[in-house]
Amino acid sequence: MAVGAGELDIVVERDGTVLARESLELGPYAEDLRFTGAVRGTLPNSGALPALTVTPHWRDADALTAEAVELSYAGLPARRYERAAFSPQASSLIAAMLADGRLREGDAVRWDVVARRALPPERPSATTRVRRAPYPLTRAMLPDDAPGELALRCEPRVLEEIRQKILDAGVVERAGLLLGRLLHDPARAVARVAVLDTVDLVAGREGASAVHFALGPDSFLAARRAVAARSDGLQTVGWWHSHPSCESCLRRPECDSDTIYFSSHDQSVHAAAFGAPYMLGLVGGKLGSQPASRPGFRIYAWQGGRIVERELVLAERRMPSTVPTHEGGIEA
Amino acid sequence: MTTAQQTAPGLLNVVIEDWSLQQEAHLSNVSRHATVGEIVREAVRALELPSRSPFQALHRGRQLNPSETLDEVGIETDDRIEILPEVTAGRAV
Repeated sequence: MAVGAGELDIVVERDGTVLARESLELGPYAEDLRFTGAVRGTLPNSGALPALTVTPHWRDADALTAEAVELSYAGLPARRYERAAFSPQASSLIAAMLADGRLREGDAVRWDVVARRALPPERPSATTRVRRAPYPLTRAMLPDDAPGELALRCEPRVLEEIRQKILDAGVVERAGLLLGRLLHDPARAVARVAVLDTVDLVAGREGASAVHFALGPDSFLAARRAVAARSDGLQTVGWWHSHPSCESCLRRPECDSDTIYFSSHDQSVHAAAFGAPYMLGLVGGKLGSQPASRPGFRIYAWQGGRIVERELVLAERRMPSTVPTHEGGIEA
Repeated sequence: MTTAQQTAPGLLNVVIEDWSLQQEAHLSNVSRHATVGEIVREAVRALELPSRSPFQALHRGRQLNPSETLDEVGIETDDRIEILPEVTAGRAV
């Protein structure tokens, strides 16, 4: 039986006692479903938000705990997300509980997706309507891309530029936006993110250090102005930041430490600022197999509502000819 | 372009957009006594943004205090407010 989108919670419990409860956030999974539909042509890429049907699959006869949640739009195949798909939110909640002392390191807890208990209605609130721009798809022929997974390509020149920025910054983290195009071959129902350039992000109020890069309103506003000032029509397709090696690694080419991973903080940034399903997160730093003098990279992307590591593929051939299918922006 | 809609006295229509400018939440019949924090939370929910991430609200370039009411910060009906994340990347903080 379907439930409302806001009627499922994530709970963290210990020995049968609920320690924390919050609403299950289905945004990334609904985005996954909408983007897949737009690429396949089964959902119009108009920015319109069709009504989402949320159907929990209960683990027990009491219908209290869900083993999976199925999402669907009218007339289209549903997509089932197993419990494990929601582990990022559970992990984030548990991390918050550790930070504020509700949990201590070593505490054994479990988490579940459960039916929300009915709450009395609050005073009437404002009505809210969301308007969205279509996905910025640019039509292209993509004969080499396989259906089912968003393809990624990065211009080698962009990686070299970022590599130099990382070296220039020494042991301090640095960040920038990735710019490019979201290519779409409707005949084959495939899409590809092509990374073609980068612009710097300036650090926010809390600055940057060897282990952090703060992003605030000024960071995003300045970068957005820089992108808007361009005449090449490139879109924001993600971001990059560095996890620099330490000074001793720079002096020891044989050092095999590896600083490149997508931390929980990085995942929070990605979810808050780069939540569109085609957005990429590139991390540059010390690869175990390379000296610190030549920073390497790993790339992360949304897949099935979660952020996963993907293969970083360099664009080796001329980019396919393109025809924009949307000018972008929210229609009046 | 948003068409101005008439509202009852004491109520506002407000548009809240995220930093990408690719999506916006139109809140209708919001009390002037609602706080900035309350409407930001509603926009975060409606725009499917992560609820635990902090978002700063800007109105005409000025950062708004979440505890102030829309009346106190001078929001008029059909005004646009932008919400931008204040987040930190990196290996540790």
